[in-house]
Amino acid sequence: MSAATLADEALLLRYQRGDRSAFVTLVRRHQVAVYNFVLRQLGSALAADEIAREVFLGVVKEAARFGYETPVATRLFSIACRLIREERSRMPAPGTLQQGPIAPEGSGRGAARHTLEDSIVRAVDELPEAQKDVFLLREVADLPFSQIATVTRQSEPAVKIQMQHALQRLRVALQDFDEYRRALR
Amino acid sequence: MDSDKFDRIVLDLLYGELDELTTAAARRHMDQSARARDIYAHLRATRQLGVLPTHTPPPDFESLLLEREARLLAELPVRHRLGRLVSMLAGYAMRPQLIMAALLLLMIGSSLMFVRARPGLHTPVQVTERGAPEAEVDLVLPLAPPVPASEAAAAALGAALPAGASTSPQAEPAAPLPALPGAAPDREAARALLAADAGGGLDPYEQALQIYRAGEYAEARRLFERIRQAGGKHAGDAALYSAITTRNISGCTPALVRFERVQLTYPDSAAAHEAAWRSGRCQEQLGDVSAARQSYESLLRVPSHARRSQQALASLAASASTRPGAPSETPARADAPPGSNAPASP
Repeated sequence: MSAATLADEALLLRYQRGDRSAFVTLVRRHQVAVYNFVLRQLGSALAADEIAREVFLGVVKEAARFGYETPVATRLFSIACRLIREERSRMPAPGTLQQGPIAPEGSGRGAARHTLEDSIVRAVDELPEAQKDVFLLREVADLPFSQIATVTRQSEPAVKIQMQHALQRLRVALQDFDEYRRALR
Repeated sequence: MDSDKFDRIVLDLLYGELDELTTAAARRHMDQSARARDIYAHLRATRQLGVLPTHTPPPDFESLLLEREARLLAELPVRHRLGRLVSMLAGYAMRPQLIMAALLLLMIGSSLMFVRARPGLHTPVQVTERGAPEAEVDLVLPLAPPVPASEAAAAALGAALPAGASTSPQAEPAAPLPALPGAAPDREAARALLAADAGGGLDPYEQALQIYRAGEYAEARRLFERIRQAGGKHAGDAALYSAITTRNISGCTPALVRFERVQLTYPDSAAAHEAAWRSGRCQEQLGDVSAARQSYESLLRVPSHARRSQQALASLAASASTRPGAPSETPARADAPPGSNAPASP
């Protein structure tokens, strides 16, 4: 069986036994989600690059005592949340997304589309921290609610309430757009 | 499904985390409830549009990460590295092929316990009825000088000589021996000797010895008794061999009297010493440890028997110490089973 088709836990087991290629596969599988999650949380591409790397290095450090009752993705984003909290505590002021490195790529899009994306990004950025965590873990990391509850150390119903509030705020930010009205139909 | 339950599961419905039954129930509820339909439509539209743009990590993200990972592994504490090593070894050890190989080796190893040499490969050891090796009991010492091979051959050929050629004055016609199936060549020679008893030309004592060695104990005893009664230089040895053949024929109890008679009649002779030794062995077999010890002790000053006697005494002491509950000196068993007096195997 090739490493690409193995589950995260099997890859980590291989890595524990000295197979570094399994770690490479694990990184390639999760690096985009981890990087974007950190980027949306911190708003700095530079910090996201560094913190995302630290997240994977945290897995390396914990590999020897990694428990398989928790999925690897859940463990990755738990480490990510912890590092983000530490990074935020060091930051002088809440950051905003740097428009340069994280601006939408591709210039062929229209102005209305650009405005919609900006509104989404701004709305997400302005979410309360707890709602933002839950929203990003659901939408960017694609974790199920039960795993989000594990990462954020809340109950699952509490997580769903946070998510509903986050979606309600986004709805307010999006409801003036034609795309939204079309999507309702 | 009611509205409260729908409100609780609407997010699961939106993200596809519901099972099929609950999904179908929720959809049926939406068909019936405009409120539920509206809630779900807004959530779905928000999710559909609220997709954040995805950014790819920098190109050197992976290479830098792997570089730092290699450095980190090199700097890991010993216990962490040991843990990785143990995990790696355990991973190999848990492979089914290794487990099956270990089981196979275990099965082969345990089956070796049941492998034994074929009976034919063992050295045959005949034992007496009492279980002692025959060689220890039936030790025949060459009291007389061994018969030269040429003489033995001549004796064997004696049967072919005419009866009148015998030079022995004591020779007398012997009864013909019954046929012995599977008899050894020695036995054939003895039969030839008996056949040529009257005129064999052999010394009677040598003749008796040949017959004794051939295992014809009854005939040998008859000849030895005759030599003993006649007296002469072989009288003592003949008396000893008479006692030995008695032991071989009838067992130790009747032989003891004859061994004692040899010691009394021919004191300080080689035959008397050998008789004392044999007497001790018989007494030991009969369980009369005290008498056996006395017999052995009487031989301690005899150079030819001192060493054997010391060993026998040590053996007696050892067997007495291994039986702490048993008396050190067992008296002669008056009620000894008849098997103890049974003749030893030739």
